[in-house]
Formats: sequence, C-alpha cells, structure tokens
Amino acid sequence: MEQTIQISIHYFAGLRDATKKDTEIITIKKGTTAESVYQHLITKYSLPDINRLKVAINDSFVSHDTIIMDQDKLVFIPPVTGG
Amino acid sequence: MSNFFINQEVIHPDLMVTENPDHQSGAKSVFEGIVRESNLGKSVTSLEYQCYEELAVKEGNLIISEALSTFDINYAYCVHRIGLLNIGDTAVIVLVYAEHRDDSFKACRFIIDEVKSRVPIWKKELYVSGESEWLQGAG
Repeated sequence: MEQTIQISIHYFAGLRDATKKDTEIITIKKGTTAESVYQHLITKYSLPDINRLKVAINDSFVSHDTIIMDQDKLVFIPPVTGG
Repeated sequence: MSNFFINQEVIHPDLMVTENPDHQSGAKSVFEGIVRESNLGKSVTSLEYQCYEELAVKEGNLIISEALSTFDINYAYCVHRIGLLNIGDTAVIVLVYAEHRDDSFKACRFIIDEVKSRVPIWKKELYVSGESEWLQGAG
C-alpha cells in the first residue's frame, strides 16, 4: 500500500488571498517534493508560477526539489516587498 | 544576540532607546522608511504589511550578523512594523554605530537593501479608489 504523510501549508500575501486560507493540512504521497505539492495546489487555486516563489520548510529556506517529510510546515514565499 | 525585530505597534523614532554600546563609536547612521501618499501614480491611503514572522526574524538576524562581519561597525539594529500603517507612519528603522562614518553608512545601506530583498514581509497598498493590491517585488 502506498504510504502517505500529512503536512501543513501556510499562506501569505497574494497566496493567502488566492486560497482564502491562512493554513491547511493536506495528505500527500511519501517522497513528494515541494514543487510537486505546488503543482497539486495549482489545480485547486489560481496561483502564480512557482518560478517566482521561494520555498521554506520548518522556517528555513530550501530548494524547490526538497522532499517533504511527515508533519513538515511548508511555505511558498512570493517576492518580498518589505521596507 | 537578536537585533532584528518585528513590531505590531507604532514606532516612535524620537522615543527609541538605542544604546551606544561603548564610547568607541564616533558615527551613528539611521535609515527610516516612511509610508508615502502615492506610488506609480496612484493615491495611497494606507499600507498593510504582512509577515512570515519565524523566518523573517531568522533572516533579519542573519543580515545583521552579515553586516557585523562585513563592515567595521560596533552595533546594528533593525525593526520593521507590520499591520495597517497610515501615511507618514514609520515602517522600518535601521540603526548602525561605527567608529567612522564610511562603514556606518555602508552597513546601514547594506542592511536595508538586504531586508527589502530577503526578509519575508509583504506590502499591500490600499488606494483612494477603494482598490488594493499586493506589490509584486523584483521577482
């Protein structure tokens, strides 16, 4: 049987507006990358291309092809505009 | 030592207690970012700043550490406000103490530039027309 894991996704700025959510819990296949999660999200929501986004797992920047682990906190980060 | 802060409350630059860590510093540089009333031809009524606080504080402190190791400075500090800000409100302050002015200016410029390009904070402009939009950044 295919193994699955649960992760939380946290949304900010335009992504929060597009999803109308601060956060959500999703179940994914074990071994899924952050980019693959985003491709799944694009089928549910109207989101920008991932090439404009950075990725963080558990409050650290990671590459798009990082594999997500069970109970990870995943954040897609739009171009920042502080200051 | 943590010297990067996210603040929900109004920042009063004149009331900031910023210690001069010793008497070796002959230069103090301050950058203050202020909400202005227009951008790209649109009249702005207010700004909303949103932040991914855990990573913002981590990345902000990394920038402060980089400034301290790159420039000949004695002290660096940054605070960024989030929430709803009105025209004229202070959005961000960078403060640097150094022995001499050259590195004091350079480090202050470095910190605000890096904060604007790396720290996960986002700005939404609210316009007189009633519309609003998240700014898109440099990409």
